[in-house]
Amino acid sequence: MKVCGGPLIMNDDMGGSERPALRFDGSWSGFFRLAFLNIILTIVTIGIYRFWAKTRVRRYLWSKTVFVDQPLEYTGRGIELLIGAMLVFLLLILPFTLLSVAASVLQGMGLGPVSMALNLVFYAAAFWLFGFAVWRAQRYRLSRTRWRGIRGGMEGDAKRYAWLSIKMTLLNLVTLGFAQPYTTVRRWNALWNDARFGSAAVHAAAEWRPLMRVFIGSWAMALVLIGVVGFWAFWQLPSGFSWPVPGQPQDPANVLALTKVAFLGLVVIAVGLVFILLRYGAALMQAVVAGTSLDTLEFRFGAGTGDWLRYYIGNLVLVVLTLGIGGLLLPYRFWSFHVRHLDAMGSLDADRLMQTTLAQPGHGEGLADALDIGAV
Amino acid sequence: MIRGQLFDGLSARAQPVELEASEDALIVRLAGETERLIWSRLRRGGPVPDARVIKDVVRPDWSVQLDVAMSAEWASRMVSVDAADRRDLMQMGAASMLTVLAGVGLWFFGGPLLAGLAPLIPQSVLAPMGQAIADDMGPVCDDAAGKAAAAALLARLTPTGAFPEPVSLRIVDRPVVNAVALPGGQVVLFRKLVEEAESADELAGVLAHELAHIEAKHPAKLMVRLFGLSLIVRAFGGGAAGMADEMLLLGSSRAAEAEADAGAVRILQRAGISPAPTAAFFERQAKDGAKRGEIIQTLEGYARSHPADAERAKLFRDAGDEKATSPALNAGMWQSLRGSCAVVKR
Repeated sequence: MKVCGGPLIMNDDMGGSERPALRFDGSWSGFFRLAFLNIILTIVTIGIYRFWAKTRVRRYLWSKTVFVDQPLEYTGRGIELLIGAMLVFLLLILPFTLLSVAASVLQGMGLGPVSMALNLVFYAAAFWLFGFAVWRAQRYRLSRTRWRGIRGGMEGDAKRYAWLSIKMTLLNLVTLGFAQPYTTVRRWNALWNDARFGSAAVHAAAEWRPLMRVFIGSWAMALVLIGVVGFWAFWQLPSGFSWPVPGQPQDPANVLALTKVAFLGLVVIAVGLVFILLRYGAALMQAVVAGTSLDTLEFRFGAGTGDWLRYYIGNLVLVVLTLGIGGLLLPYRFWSFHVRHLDAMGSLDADRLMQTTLAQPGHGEGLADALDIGAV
Repeated sequence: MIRGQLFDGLSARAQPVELEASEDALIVRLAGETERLIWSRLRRGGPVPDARVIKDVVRPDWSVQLDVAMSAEWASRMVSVDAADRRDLMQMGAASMLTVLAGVGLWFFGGPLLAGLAPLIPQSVLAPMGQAIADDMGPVCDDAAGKAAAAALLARLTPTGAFPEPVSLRIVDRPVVNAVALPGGQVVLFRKLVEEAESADELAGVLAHELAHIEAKHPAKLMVRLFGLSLIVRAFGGGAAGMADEMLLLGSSRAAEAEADAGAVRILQRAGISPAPTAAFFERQAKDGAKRGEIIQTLEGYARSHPADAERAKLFRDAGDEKATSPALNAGMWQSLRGSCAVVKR
């Protein structure tokens, strides 16, 4: 691994003994102190501190994330998030609220169809804005991320992604959700193809077809699971069992047997479905990350079904056992899980990686905040 | 002299540099070239015994990583990166101060502010809104004799000239013991309430309560509150502020209910209807509540939007009569009112 000038050599598939290209050095106790102070200050200031709280959390997580030899640096400021929220309030929340008041006034005046049309416009706009917000939030975060003095950014504009997002939502509706692998991969590719780091472009060409096989396989597994459990449940019913007839007195032993078997069966099915869903989710994440590269760097996401299961169960246990206080650590777990399973391969020429020419947006992610997008 | 790596912010290349301190500046030597940077523009990054980063306020993307931690003397000449963020602290402090000030201001002057703003919303906006909400509540009881009886009861409670705005009353065919006052003078009684009332006087008491809400402009004030403060609070304060807002709404709603109870007594007395029977109605509701257990009921008293039924009953029982009273409706009309939902308009 060379650090001074020339190409930075990442660990490739062969050199398993090398340190991983990405490392997370955070400590949960350090993060907890930060998060606890944040929540106190947020309560004391009736919520306004949360923009600074979010910024401090990111600054911490970024600074503990080391790529090759240097940590990332988060350069965003709390005031930028506040200004973003103000703009969204004035330009969107306020007009939309007035519009919804107008819709209910129109409905009360007996102009039902006009009110309905207004509501339809409202929902269509919300869907469009969702895509817009996702793109803009990513641009803000990339533009505020620095590594070896170089910043990221997003090329192009959010409108294209917003339209694509609407199209993909409609396609999901029309296909009753069966286009899910295709639409997710297209969204990912569109979003990340616009991303830049310095002079290097991100190239996202994830394949949806292999994912479709996993998706169909998941459906098949779910159907088989439900069938097998249903058959087993039927088998378990006692020999003297008769189905209760509505309106007639029921034998309590019968009802008890049915309840017991149905409960067990549903638990088995629920656990099985969670596993099947996680398996698909893991495959999806692996596929999209493997299809994404930065210049000559390739990425891999190593988390399998078991890793995700442990991650979610860990979250659940953490929150439940601490009566919710452990929830403060969820952003930390989210970030460390993703960084620890992400790996980069290939080489990056530090001499050739120049500063970005993209302008920095002046304010951040108000819309994504209003729509509650994003975990960190 | 300390060695380090320079990141110039133009490329990702790390360039070897030698650093030396002079009285007024840091001297950076890079491949034969020398740059003098006065101390005031430099910032140190990292905790003090281990500070290894030097940054330049003029060039944010520029930084030097030292091979060893800087000496205490160097550290004393540069402000820390975090301390230099005084601007951030000022912005945060100003935003927090303004928010808390606004909160305190609203705590003391929110009531008068609402009272001032609520009459500004025109009836032409409020009436259709109330109408739309009422339409969403369910099918309307439409028996002709029942409607006439309801109109008679309403007329007795709101004599012309004594009530500030026109009121429209409807009974909705739902099995709920409740009544609501909506924006624009819209009052809704639910079927189960009419059935549970044992006399026209009891029902008149509940109706008078809703009319008192309208007299005090509570629905219009709630509109201003929800579309004003709540909207702003939730947009800027997020989840924590939303919860606080919810608590405040609950608190102000309890105050409004108490005010409406007092107003209801006045309306009944003015109309020559005895408030005492209404007490019996609340007592029966309280008895139903007691079945659910004392402790739960006490807890409910804190959490619910209305005062506890037993307290309300006492208010109506102790109120007394102002002038000679007569039943709110005659027996025939009371029977018609109870049969309102024989015909339902969907």
